[in-house]
Amino acid sequence: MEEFVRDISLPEIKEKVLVDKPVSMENCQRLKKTTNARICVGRAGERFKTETLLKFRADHAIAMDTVWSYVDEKIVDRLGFYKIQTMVKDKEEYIRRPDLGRIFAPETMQAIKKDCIQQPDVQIIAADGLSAYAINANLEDIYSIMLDGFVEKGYSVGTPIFVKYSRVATMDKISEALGAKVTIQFIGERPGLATGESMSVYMAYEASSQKPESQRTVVSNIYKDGIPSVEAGAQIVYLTEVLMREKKSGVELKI
Amino acid sequence: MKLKTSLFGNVYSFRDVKDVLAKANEEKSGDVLAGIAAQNTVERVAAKVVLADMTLENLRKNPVVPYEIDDVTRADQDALDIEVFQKIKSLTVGEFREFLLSADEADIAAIRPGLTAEMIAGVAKLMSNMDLVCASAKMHVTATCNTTIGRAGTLSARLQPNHATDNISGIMASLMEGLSYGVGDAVIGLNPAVDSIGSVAAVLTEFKNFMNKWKIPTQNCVLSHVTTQMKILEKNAAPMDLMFQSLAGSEIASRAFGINVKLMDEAYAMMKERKSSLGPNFMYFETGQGSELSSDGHHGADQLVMEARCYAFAKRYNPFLVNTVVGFIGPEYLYDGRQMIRAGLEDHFMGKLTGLSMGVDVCYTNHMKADQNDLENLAMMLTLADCNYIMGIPGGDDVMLMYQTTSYHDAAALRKIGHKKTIAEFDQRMEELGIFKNGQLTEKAGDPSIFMV
Amino acid sequence: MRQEILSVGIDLGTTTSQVIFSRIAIESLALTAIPEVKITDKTIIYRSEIYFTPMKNIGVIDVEQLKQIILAEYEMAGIRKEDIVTGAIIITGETARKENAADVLNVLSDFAGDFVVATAGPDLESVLAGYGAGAAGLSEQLPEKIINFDIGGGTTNAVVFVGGQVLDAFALDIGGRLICLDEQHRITYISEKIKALIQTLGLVLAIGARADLLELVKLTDAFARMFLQISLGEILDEETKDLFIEHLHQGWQLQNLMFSGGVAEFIYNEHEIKTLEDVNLFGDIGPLLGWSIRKHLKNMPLTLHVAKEKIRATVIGAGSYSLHISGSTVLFDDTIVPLKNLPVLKIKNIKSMQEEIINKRCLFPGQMIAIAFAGAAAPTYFQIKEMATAIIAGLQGAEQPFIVVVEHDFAKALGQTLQRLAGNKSVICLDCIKTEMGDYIDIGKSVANVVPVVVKTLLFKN
Repeated sequence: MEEFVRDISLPEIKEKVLVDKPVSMENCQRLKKTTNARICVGRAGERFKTETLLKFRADHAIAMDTVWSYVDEKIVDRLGFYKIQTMVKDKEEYIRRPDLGRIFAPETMQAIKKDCIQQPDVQIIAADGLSAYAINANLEDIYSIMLDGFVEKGYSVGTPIFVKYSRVATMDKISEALGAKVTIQFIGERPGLATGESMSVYMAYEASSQKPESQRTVVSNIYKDGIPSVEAGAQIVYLTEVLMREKKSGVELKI
Repeated sequence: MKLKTSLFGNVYSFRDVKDVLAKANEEKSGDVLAGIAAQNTVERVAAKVVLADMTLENLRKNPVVPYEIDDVTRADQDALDIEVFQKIKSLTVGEFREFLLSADEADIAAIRPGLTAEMIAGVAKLMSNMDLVCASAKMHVTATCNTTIGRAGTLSARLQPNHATDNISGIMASLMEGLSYGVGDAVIGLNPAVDSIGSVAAVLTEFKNFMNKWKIPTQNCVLSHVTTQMKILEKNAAPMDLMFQSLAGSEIASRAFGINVKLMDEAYAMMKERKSSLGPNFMYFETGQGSELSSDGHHGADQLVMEARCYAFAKRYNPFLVNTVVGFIGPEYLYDGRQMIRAGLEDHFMGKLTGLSMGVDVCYTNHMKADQNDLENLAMMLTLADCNYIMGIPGGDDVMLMYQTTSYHDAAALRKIGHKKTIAEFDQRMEELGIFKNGQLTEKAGDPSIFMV
Repeated sequence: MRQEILSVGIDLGTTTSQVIFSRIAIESLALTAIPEVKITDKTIIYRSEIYFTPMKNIGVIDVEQLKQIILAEYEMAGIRKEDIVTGAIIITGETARKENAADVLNVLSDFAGDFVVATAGPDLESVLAGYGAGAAGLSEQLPEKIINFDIGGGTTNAVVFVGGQVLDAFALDIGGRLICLDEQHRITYISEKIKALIQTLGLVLAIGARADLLELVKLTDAFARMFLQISLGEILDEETKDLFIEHLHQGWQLQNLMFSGGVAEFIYNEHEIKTLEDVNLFGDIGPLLGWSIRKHLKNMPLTLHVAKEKIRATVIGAGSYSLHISGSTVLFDDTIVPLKNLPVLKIKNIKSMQEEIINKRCLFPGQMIAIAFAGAAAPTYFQIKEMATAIIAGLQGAEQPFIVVVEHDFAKALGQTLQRLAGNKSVICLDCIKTEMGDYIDIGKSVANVVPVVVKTLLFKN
């Protein structure tokens, strides 16, 4: 019979009190409930217990791997995204050269203009950013609820675009190329330990590379243990209405 | 001043002092990103050769950002002790390296007032990692707030009880865990998630109450923006032992942090008047290589020399604590564990040579090519280098800033293998509480519930 | 962003009645476009004097006089009832069992402000008193459990907290006014509730006769021992069990205790009792009961904590702690609120939601209902559509807006989907609110993107 060694990636592993003979086990448990910091882990001499160490390594491993992984293109294909790439050639360059991850080659810009819907009310962009897993995990739900919401509100929705090796600023370039009113970008966040699936959404009214970063309205921490992707999607449908009405975004907008 | 050399039959010439300094720097992805790094390894060595031949006077006369346009340059140059400078100005950077490696502690201390940031960065570029450790290990800089940090034989730690939403109970839970490992003699200092007067004041007060209740001899701090802390002082809203601010190495880069020399002068004067601590050192600064480039305030200079200029800025305020947050900024500035380790040793050395009570936040982010082993390597090297303090955080995982730094366990382990102790009064109190016996963790240590009675 | 709302608390007790006004601060931290909203501060800005509850005759509350008292207090405080956003009127102790208690609540609820809720029920009263006394707050710092006894004129309301959470709540027919005395120390009243106990103890106490101090002490000592037995988790005798109202306690063994209510004053002070004059300060046995408890607490393995509020604990609990706020991403419709006393239809199994709604709807004929369930922590869009479809089908033909209350954070997604699939119907969909079958909820106007909700839980009812 095949048996498994316990799965230390499960969240409940982090909830265990590992202190040997604490003055009060009940109090240790109560302290743990107040924070997700790694407290009450006990010790082996001056070092971590083996489980603490391995749990840490596992949580770091998933975070590292999500940075160096790729978005599952089957998902973006199924949802009908138009696929493009920034000036970055590979992951290594993506990490080292954030400047190249913000711009497109002239041919790419022309292709966008030729192939995508012009002057949409809403332009949706998915970008890998620093976490491919974030897009894999959240894209389908957030995109679908938003699409239904926009159609119901009567907004024209542009060709959805997926950008490989992308930083946030690509949304400005695409918005400029297509003359979109509201541009919305999903992007994988820099992962924390064990939170490889966290996604952010940036949105701006008439996004432009001439405007400062503060033009963007942002929702972050979108993943299953943070803000559920459907709920974030519903909030973005609501925010889009506000942006369309107020004709502004970011710090200029009082929500 | 010579700006040319040849190596292996090739001629290497450099535009100016700034160019030499940049190309002489050990490889950093941030200098490559800025387009100022050496094209190859031999060019890097050629630049070091040219740099070694420059005098300290050459470096003084060529600050990487002109005096006229930059308040940090002015702060540094105006603070120079001309008499001391006269004695050392003709030393080449190469000779200066040898001086630092062979002189004793008092001789080094004596020439400190004659140094500028460019000299300090210059000599760091000629040193190997072990050179940096050797030189640092004989420079002890003490500073006194409620307690005195930096004495030989000590390794202190900042207790960093960060929480995703600044929940007070959650913060205090991490604090109790940290103290149960004997962490927190440098400072109990929170990075707040929310930079509001009410929230920051509440945390400061809570820390102080805990320190009073348990008679913990240390200092409290919340690392919010300096203007928030000034408002708290104005309103007398909370006791504040240390005032914090992040610093950058140029006026433009400081602007991105919302500060300048004038504002910091005002903050310092106000703190002097209203602080809750006892001693003459009551400021706490954080720095880190690369922040000037990220805010377009690097003036074409490399990130090491810009970092040295942060220390010149810091020195103006006789800080109790200064630390570089070495691996926080990301791989576009420090690519991997190797660059992170190098930068940590450089920054510590430069801070000490500047005369600062220098610590290091030994850390990395998840998009860097670095892991726990790199972090531990640097932490052990810094212990050998007699670093004043490191960070201490539960399980090495900062759940608010989303990076990894040294754990409570690391602080305890480094004290043990480095034969170090915490600050004397703190050590004494830990003994009374039964957490230490002869400076080592007891059976009782590591249990936060001892503070819940 | 910080917003402040005014809340009123009115407590109509067996003996006394009082009014307080408090200011509740709701702070919205907008680090991103989804703000974090929480209640950050509760400050009592006005406390009325303590009135004797006006009675027409035994068993009937004088509504007109109560109205006068409340009106005068609003005026004294300088507060208009239009400015009151939330609050609670609580009718407590024996008063709740008066003939016209329900009428009184209804009349006063509208009289006090648009969104002031009327509540009754001894367990809820216990919980509110525990909050008002400060036991809930203290329990977050204490390593062990704590019990608060709120001893009023007619009843004692007890609640056990651990780490800020309610563990148990119950009530007893023990109070300071179960026996009343006139100025000559003659007994004028003995509550029906304790006649059996008096008999079992063999006490000589009769209406019309001059009270005998020693006999009274035997009675209050018996009460004091009951408090100790309950606190220590000991097995109770039948006489004690008979004094519980509606249900027994869970029987935890406790380490910490606190007292609030009028009698508590005499537990914490040093008032000595040697004669009947010392007892008869208010025409009842309250001071003696306090003295007995104080005496019995000596040398017991229990830590006595001082209550933040004593006689005002319940009213403060009602005024400051009855309000909950929804999550910050919800769907609300301010044109149809306030909604009061909506019965909660709690879905047991989300998979059979449609059937459950249809089957249970008939329990509330002609009433507007709120559909409630926990839901998954991070549902997919497919699941959201399934929920919406089931709710629409389940409520088909019902002439009411969609009112849905869920625990996990997906109300905006569900609300939008409901709205889309149901056409033009009005929708209120709120999250981060926990309810049970049998609860009633009140929903108010939105404040800072969150919606104030009062859940009137009949706690631990079987």
